[in-house]
Parts: sequence; structure tokens; C-alpha cells
Amino acid sequence: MIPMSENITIGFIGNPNCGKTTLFNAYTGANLKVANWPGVTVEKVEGAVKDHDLNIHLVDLPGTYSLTSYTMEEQVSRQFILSDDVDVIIDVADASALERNLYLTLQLLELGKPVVLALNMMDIVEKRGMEIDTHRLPEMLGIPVIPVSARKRTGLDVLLHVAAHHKDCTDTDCLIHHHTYKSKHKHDHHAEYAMVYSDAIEDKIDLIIGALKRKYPKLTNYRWYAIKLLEQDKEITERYPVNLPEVIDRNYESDIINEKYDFIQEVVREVLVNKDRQDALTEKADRALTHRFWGIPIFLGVMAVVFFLTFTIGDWLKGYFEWGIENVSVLLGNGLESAGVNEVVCSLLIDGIVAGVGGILTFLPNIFILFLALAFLEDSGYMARVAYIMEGIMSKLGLSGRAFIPMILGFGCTVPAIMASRTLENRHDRFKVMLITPFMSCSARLPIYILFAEMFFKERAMVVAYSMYMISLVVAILVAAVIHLIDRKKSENYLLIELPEYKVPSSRTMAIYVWEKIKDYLTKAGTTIFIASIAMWFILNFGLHGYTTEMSDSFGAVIGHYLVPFFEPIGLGFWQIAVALIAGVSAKEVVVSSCAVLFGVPNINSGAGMDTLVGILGNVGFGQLNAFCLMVFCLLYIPCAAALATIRKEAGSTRWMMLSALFQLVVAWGVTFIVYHVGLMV
Amino acid sequence: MIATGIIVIGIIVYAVWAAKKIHKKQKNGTCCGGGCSGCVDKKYCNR
Repeated sequence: MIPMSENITIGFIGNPNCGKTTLFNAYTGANLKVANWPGVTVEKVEGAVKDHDLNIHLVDLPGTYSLTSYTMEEQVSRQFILSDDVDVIIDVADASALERNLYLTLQLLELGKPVVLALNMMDIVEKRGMEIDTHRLPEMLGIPVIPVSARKRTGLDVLLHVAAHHKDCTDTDCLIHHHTYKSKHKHDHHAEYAMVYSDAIEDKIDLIIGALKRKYPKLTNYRWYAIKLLEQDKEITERYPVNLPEVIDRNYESDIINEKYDFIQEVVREVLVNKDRQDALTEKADRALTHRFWGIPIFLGVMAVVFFLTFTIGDWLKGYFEWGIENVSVLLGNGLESAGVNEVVCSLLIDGIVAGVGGILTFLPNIFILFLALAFLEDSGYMARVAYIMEGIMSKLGLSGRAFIPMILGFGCTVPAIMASRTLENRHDRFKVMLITPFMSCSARLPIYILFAEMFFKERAMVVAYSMYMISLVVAILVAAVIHLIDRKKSENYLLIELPEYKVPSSRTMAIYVWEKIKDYLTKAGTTIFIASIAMWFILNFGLHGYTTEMSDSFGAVIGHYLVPFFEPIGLGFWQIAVALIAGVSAKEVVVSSCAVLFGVPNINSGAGMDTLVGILGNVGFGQLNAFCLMVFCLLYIPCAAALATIRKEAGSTRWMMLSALFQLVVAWGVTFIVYHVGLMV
Repeated sequence: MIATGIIVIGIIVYAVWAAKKIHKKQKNGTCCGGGCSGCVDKKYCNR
């Protein structure tokens, strides 16, 4: 019986890509991003759910293959599991890959905490014609085993109920290792533990436990510490040293791993019927999509299709938005005039806020299509392959294919991309990835490409915009290569990634992904773009002598003219463009909203708005080459304020953030300089 | 005059709210709200 109004904390742990976050979302109603590659959850995320009178606190942990923590995300999981904060651990295992997932289960069992094994993805197991003996498995492991499907939301209530009941249960009464087993060892460990090592290792464990008990009488679960000391775990060896050189005469980690896998084989032999068969379609598709030579061209082709859809379908939908914004602008103007609102306030609302925020909102259809396509690629299982096919190139740059995961995420948003660098094992590589990831073209740059490519390149607009994405990849790879050449501290990194089966993407996962991105875009329009538009309107309508209708007397013009010499050599020596680029540091879309305010074009994304802007820019000598240079500079220069804040947080250093921003600026200036001068020669 | 005053106050109030929201978002690790799993110790997903 569970006491009334009890609070319990349940931690979800499991291998990357086993469905922990999907399970967490199903329980809490949260919309956390789920994906089929490692590094999506890099911090523990908490939620709460009420079950009868039980207040259940759920914690979703980053995926980990073991508790021998090497990467930052693994450390987060291990520290939390080891702490007293967790009452029950739900070990989420991908039932279709039981063999691999049980390794972590065995490690968790050794912690001596209440563990419940959730066999997730049972729908896939059934689909493949496999069967799992869910009666024998709990007997062999000594813990409850609950089959669930997070995606289909089956077995969820039972799992939570079992976890709540199992809270105080750490005894192994239900452990039946072998029905007819008689232990020959001096201690019958088989009656106590699921995982029992060879006699030689068990003897060592017993000796270390004895020493630990004498030296650290307050410690609990001596067996786990003894095993970690045998594995020469850095953290445990430093914190709880024991002087037993004849017992810990070498590192026993590989022996312990091998024996664990021997036991896993034994379990799998007993409980798994019709062992995993690789899906024939996945095998066939992978022969082409992950091909040594064709893999990368196919990836580039897929991205070209994404941009084709973003432009064609996006532009068709865009018309409705333009019509809406135009009408709002007219209605607002008429309303303000009839209400007798002050002229300056009218200008602020129509030329500042509606032009700035409204201009950005018209790009929403393009953003929607881009994210819908990216969500499709992610959830179908293709994006995980991209990291795999890039392994060859990345290893030549001294980075693992793992480093390409943040880069792929960078196509969406730089912020989670920088955070995903946590999946890299050492700090040195993380810093390298943090330097190159902002070069990837995030969705915030898309409105700039759409606007300037459509204004100056007309029917070639799509190719020009696509070229920005190719430039971003090439620059990121080249910068990584240069860093690799001058970097004296080389490290070896290997990609460990599970390639999921191809599947028809889940409409729910895609909807969550796209909705969150759209919400983020709208929030940005209503906050950052709103404030930037007001600030821009202010510096363009006020000067040393107060309100002015002459833009050349405004603060903006003064600031812009000071900046012109810096931008002149890269083909951007126009004071309005200089002001827009500086404002763009707050968020890249602000470059577009600033142009709307700067050039007084209320509906900048409409055909008429574009024609007006081309005319104004043409009058000051801004042509195709300048537009291309502007796009290249926007692609590469300082990431937005949010990305800078994330770099500071992840690197733990303001100086590193400043250095990183300066580095991006120098690279952007250098590349745009080359593009401009080559363009002048052509 | 009254309409102008109301609009100015409205814009100021909204701008202050927006600035606070931006600040909070950056402090909390930016992509809070679910877009990515980047929030630390934030109990934002209570049902």
C-alpha cells in the first residue's frame, strides 16, 4: 500500500535513442525534442506527474551506454543516479536491441538501487516477429520487467505503478539465476546478485569490500565501489583509495566487461526467441545512402530538394501572409489617423513595429517548410546516417563523425547545436566544435537569403540560397582543417552511433518538432524583433536635435557612417547595411526587419516591397555582387546573442565567447573580401 | 491625446515584458520551452 500524498523521484536512464524522452513526453505532456541520434538530451530535464495521491517527480537523463563516464552527458546521468535524489530508476531499454541495452542494466543493478526495466519499442519487436520471455527475464535479473511502447503509449500506467511500488524494494527474493544451480563458490553470490563474476574476480571483490568496510564504515553498497576500484575508475579511485596492490594489481575493466557480456549472452539465449533480423529495406537503402562514394553526393542532393521545397511551397504560402500584413498595415494606419494619434507614434507603429515584425512574419511559411523537411529527415532515420557518412572527412580533420551531429543540428538552430558538442569526450574537441558550429547556416539566416536572393537573382534565387548552405559546410570544414593543422594537441575520437531502421516518420514527433520551431520563431518576432524594430526606428528618427524626418541627421546615419570604412572593402560600404548588420547580432532575422525600417518598406517580402527596395538599393549602387556578399557575410559573421550566451555558458568563459565572436567576424570578413574581389574580376 | 497616451503606455509595457522574456530565456539556457532539451532543473512541464 502506498502512503497518502507521498513524493517520489523516478529517473529515466537508458542508451541513447532508446525512447527515454518519448516516454518522458508521454508521461508529462512535455514537448521535448526527440531524435534518433545521440546528443539530443544533454542535460537532465525534470517534470512532474500526479498518480492518485502520489506526486511523482520524473527526471529524463541524457542517454548513456555505461556508467563509466567519459563524456559530459554521461557524467550528468551518473552523478544523478549515484545521488540520493533518486528513489527509483527506470532503465529504459530498446527491446529490439536487448543485447546492447542490457549492459547498462547490469551496471545499474550493481548500484543496489531500486531498478525497473522498461522494455520499450515492443511494437518493433512484435513487428519483426521476435518474442521476449517476460517471465524469465525478471527471474534472471531480479527486477520487475515491464513491456511498453512509448510511441504507441501502451504499458505506461503499469510501468509507473510498478516503479512506485518498487521504491523500497532492493532485495533479490525474486532472483532465480538458474533453477537447479548449486554455487561452488565460498559465498553463494548467485542468491544475492544477478551479475556474478568468475571466482577469481569475486574473490578480489570480497577482499576489496573488506578493506572498504574497515576504511569507510559509512559507505553503502560496497560491492559497486569494489567493482569500480577493480576497473580503476578515476573518480572512485581518487575518492576512496584502498591500499591493496596485490588485489588491484592491474586494470580489470576489460575482464569485467567481458564477463558482463557473457552473462548478457546467457540471458539473451534464454529469453529471446527469433533474434533480431535486420530490416531488409533498411539494408537495401543503406547500401546506397551510406555508400563510401555516393553517400555525400546523395546528402547534398537531399538538401537541394529541401531548399527546392522551402522556396516553391514556401513562396506559394507566403502570398497569404503578405496579404494579411498589408491589410493590417492599412487598417492600422486608417484607425490611428481617425483616432487622431500623434504623428510620431503613428510612425513608430507603422514604420517601426509593423514593418519590422510584420516583415519577419511573412517568412513563416518558408521556415515551416524547412523544419517540416528537416523533421522528416530526422525521424525517418536519415540524419543519423549523415553523421556516419561524414566520419571519413571528420576523422581527417582530427574530429569524429560525432562532431558532425552538432553541425547538422546547426542547420536548425545554433543554440542546441553548440549544446550538442557535449557528446564529445574531451574539452579540447568540444571547443573546436564550438568554433566551427556557428558557421552552419541556421534557419534565422533563411529570411536574409530569401529576400536578397529573390530581389537580385530572381529565377536563380534558389540556387543562390542553396549555395549559402554549401558555403557554410565548406567554410566549417576548412576552418576545422586549419585548426587541425596548427593544433598541436591531437586526440583520437571514434563515432559510436546506432543507425536506426528507416521508418515512416511519426506525425506526432514531426508535429512537436515543427510546432516548437514555429513557436520559437513567433516568440522571437514578438520579443527580440519587436525591441530591435523599436530601437531601429528610434535611431533612425531621432538625432542630436530630437525627432527628425531627415534620416541623414539621425543617430543611425552617424553610427552607420562610422562603420562604413570597415565594410567598404567587402562590398558592403553602405551605412544602412552597416547598421542592419550590427543590429543583426541580436538575432539574424533582425537584418531583414532592420532593412524594412531603414528603407521605409512596410511589406518588404512582397513583390512590390522587393521592387521598391531593389530600386532604393540600386540608387546607392548596391547590386547583385553586393547582395551575394551580404548573404555570405550574414552567413558567417558573429552568431546571434542567444548563441553567444550559450557559447559562454558551455565554455564557462566570457573571454572564450569574445574570442569566438571575434574569430567568426574575422573569418566572415576574410571570406566576403575574397568573394567580393573575385566577383569584381569576373 | 488619450489614444496616443494609451498606445505609448501599451508599447512601453509590452517592450518591458519582451525584454524580461529575452533575459529570462538567455539566463535559462535559451531554448527552454521544449524546442530542445536544454533546460537545467526547470520544472516547466507540469501537467
